[in-house]
Amino acid sequence: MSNISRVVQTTGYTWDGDLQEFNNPISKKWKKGFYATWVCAFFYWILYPAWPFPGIGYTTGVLNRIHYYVQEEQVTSHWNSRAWLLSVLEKKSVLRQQEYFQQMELPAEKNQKLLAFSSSFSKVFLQDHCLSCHLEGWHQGLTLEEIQRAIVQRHPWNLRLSNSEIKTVALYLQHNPKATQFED
Amino acid sequence: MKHEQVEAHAGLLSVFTLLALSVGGIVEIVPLFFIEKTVESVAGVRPYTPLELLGRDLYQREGCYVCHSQMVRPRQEDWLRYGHYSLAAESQYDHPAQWGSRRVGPDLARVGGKFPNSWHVQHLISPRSLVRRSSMPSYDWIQKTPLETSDVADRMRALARVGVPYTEDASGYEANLKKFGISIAQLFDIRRVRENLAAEVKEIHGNPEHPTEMNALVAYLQMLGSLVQFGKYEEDYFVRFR
Repeated sequence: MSNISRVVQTTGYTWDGDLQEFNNPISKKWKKGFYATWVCAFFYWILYPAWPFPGIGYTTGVLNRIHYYVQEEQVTSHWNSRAWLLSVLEKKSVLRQQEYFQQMELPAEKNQKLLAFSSSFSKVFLQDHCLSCHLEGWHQGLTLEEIQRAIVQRHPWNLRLSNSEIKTVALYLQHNPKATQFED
Repeated sequence: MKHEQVEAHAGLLSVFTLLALSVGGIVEIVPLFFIEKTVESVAGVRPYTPLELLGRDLYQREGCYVCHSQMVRPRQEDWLRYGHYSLAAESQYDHPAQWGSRRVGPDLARVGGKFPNSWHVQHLISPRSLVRRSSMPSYDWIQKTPLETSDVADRMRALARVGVPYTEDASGYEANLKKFGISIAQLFDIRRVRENLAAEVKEIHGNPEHPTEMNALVAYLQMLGSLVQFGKYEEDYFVRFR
């Protein structure tokens, strides 16, 4: 402790005859920062869902309306991360569909953007739904239509996926006949 | 007020200590009294069956939670990869919850039913034979290790003491019968635990005489996140609970 140049105050009293404690208060700057977090917390309580409360369940906050759509009907709610997720999914899925249908109009074989999309969509899809059984791969040398037909005939995927989504997966299978590995 | 005034007077120090502690306690405990508005009311959530419970204890013993979370967050990327976000109701019987905070491996909150049992067995024995770039260690010994079943009733009793509806008496059984139906109520009856465990092992094609730890762990993995039928609820039903 010899390299402490300034004199440090002690807490001002002595234990057991000679035991004293240094009093090293945190710098003013950090102290102000600490109090600033209290102020932030206070505004957070007002603006966001925060306190449990008998009767109403919890305070839902003010000035925090959020809109989302359920079956094309607009719903307004207090902001929370679940409502926010619904509104984001709605916006993004509209964008995604627009982009998707634009790309599907173009001929598949030379459309790099569609191939890239088909690859990232299908990789996840195959890992989730196909690879746990189809570890040995699948028939090769089939045309796009044949693969599409095979997917629907073997498994009723047409009940859960749209035709264009099945086409997307088929496109990937056609170009990656040996894609039987799980990626992380 | 100076340090000395507080720290050198035992009475005053005790009072302030008590005050500081009670603030911490109140902030954590009081919300629990209003928790019924926070825990979503959904059908289907039940405690673990005896075999799943043993599997869950193995999950904790092997430290799976260090690399796998069990909490799908309400975020777009989680939604697209793992499915519906986790509900508070889904962990209401967990002591302790296995939410985790670190994803070295994928989240497991919705892994149940996604792969066949055989996939999990192979994956636990040799992860890289299925997932090329996986960093998961091999857990091949759990396939060979016999499952310790002698204390399963005690494990259930311990959980019953903290509020999980496992039961040993007729009134508890009646309550479970009303709440969960007959097949589930029988599974939670501690008096029948031996037969229940044997039947469960048999159902997943294990050896009921000599179940392995693999049987229990796979049974646990296969039920994760599969209890709530999300299709039954409006998309925004869960928004109002937060």
